[in-house]
Amino acid sequence: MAKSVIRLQAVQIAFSIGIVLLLVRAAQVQLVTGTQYAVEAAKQQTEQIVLPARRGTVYDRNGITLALTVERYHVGVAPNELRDLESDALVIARQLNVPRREVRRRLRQSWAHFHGPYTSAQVQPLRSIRGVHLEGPELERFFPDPDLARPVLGQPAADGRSAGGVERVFEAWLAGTPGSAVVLRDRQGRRYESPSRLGAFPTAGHDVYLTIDASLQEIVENSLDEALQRFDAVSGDVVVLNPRNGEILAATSRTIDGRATTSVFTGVFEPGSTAKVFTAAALLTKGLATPTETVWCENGEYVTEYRTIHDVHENGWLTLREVIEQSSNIGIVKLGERLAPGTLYRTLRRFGIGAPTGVEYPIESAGILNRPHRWSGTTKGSLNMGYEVAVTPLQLALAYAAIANDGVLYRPSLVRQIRDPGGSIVFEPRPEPVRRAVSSEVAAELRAALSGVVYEGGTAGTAALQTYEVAGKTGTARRAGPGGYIEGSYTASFASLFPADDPQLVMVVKLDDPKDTYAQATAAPLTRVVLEQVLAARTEALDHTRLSRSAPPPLDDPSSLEEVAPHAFAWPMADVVDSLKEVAVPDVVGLSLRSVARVLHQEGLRMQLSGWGVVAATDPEAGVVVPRGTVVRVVGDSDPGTSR
Amino acid sequence: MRLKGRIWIAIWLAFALVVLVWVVSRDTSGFMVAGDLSDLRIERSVLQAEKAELMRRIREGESRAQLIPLAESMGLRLPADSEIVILQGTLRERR
Repeated sequence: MAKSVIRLQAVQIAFSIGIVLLLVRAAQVQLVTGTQYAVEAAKQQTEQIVLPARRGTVYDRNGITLALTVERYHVGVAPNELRDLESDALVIARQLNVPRREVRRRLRQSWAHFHGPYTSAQVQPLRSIRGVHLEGPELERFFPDPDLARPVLGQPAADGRSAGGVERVFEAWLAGTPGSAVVLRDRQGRRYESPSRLGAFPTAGHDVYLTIDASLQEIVENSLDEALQRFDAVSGDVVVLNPRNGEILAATSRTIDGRATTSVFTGVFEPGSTAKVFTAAALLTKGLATPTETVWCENGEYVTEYRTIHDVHENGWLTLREVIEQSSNIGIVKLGERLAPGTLYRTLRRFGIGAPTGVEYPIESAGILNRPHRWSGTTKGSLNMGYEVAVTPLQLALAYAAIANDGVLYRPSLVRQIRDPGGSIVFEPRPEPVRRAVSSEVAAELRAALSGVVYEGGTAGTAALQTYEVAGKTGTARRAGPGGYIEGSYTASFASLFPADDPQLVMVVKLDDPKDTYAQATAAPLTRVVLEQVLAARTEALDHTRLSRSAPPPLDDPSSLEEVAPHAFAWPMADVVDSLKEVAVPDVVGLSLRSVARVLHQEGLRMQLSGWGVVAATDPEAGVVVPRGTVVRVVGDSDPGTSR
Repeated sequence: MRLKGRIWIAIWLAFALVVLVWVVSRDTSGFMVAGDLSDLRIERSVLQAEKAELMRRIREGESRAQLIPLAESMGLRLPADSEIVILQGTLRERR
């Protein structure tokens, strides 16, 4: 008995000592080395990571996505970890779009790396394959239409490459704020998100809505590409603006080998005859000439103190308006002599020539316009003809937009709205008038002259449309090289307003060194082709309600148009010959409006509705012979106010 | 009634076991939620990738480079401006 008591006490003592030792060790681990172990454990089990913010999306003016951010992965494979090399190789080849033979070849090595990068959708089936290790995700900018407006959009900075375009200008808005978090790692190093250890939420970037219209942009890009090929031009630019607010609806610069450049913002050229309108503006503003005042144009050759000036045509007496229509160098130089240098300089500056436009683009050229004290004896005459001055296509478009907009020059704009990730508008720039370039009366006179360029025997009949009036001015200027002007090399440009009586679009087309020298054979028909496509497209760049109220062009002989407007492009154009004759207004009384619309359309007539229901009368009446394109007013038997 | 020492030990052991099970189950459910979150994030990422790919295909399908040859093969052509008639409505009277 005593022996068993001793044994029991010994066990108790041993147990107590064990517990004491355990407590001491626990205390040592917890109190003395606890912090050190906690740090080591945290290192093994957790990882501090940066949570990248989703970069904002860039949209066009109608909400079409132009650039967004997607996750991309690289794929690593440890062949010795694969359970079934053959079937796994098959899945890998299929998902990564790599030839099977190539995948098998790589899997013979100890580590196979597939750089990609690959989308989440591509790598998703690979996640469950043992031995496949995904590297990423990395956030990458994705452009659904890779070629559309790329110089305008630019690229965010990455891999040592600096940012450009809109991505650079709106970096602060688009980038968002990265967050941070601590993630848990298991024994195999797999990460698990731990919401309780989130340091800071990432804040997504804002979405930017541009003023660009994707449909219009595509039309001008394709048309310019085709024109460069057809006219064998080195490069070209097209910019389209809304003159009422300065919004840039489309802007593209391309070379004949298909490269997109930024020259619409940065490339300067001598505008040639497109600048004659600014001299006319100065003359009209100062009252030094009237539109109907005549000037002797020397039958095409004019010898001055410094040089001999030639016209293409042997013009005699021309009014100021005809000088613009016929693009007479002699006429504009002789009239321009009435202007003081300071007046001409200030007029050009008022149109924004020689100064940056302030467009939201990382780089732009201010163009070249010397102050009068630096002018030589030839400068004033040169400026009147559009030489010794250099502009960007955007500057020229803005100057013409001022003429279209009753004389008010607007700052160009590339951004329409900026919205936060929740969709609320946080920034919406208002149209920004810079200054009044000319009075509204002078602007109206200039528009009338520009309309004559297209329709009254001027130099740009090739830009004329049959049912909507186009106004514009051609410019064919010699191109300068390192050693002076290059023989036989020209820049052809055409600045246009559409429609002429209520301009909704201002477009500048420029072609560098085209095979056919003159703008009337190159830039003007390109303008017409773009406008025809815009009319037929579903673009919202044109307000069709306003357009329907525009006056038809003053065509004495519409059939002449087909002869002078060669359709240069692949899309087969309409055979317009039959559509140009005069027609009798059909008898549509008693028909429904839908039927009437169909009948009048087939006859090539335009239709204005007054009232609803069944047609009670037309104006002109049935049987009256009218030119095609005439607006026929259709009167319904119900009052508009009674309709729902 | 006085409990014997071994019963106390059993009670403590049982208590420790319960606490242990509670801690482990909480840990396990935490990992499961984290796993679900991770799966959801991956699913969202996959959907975004599919959306981007669909947008690319839509833009490509809508592009004039695709449509023009198709239209030509169907005998269609671009209408001249004279063939485009925009209906002109009268302004409604103000009530």
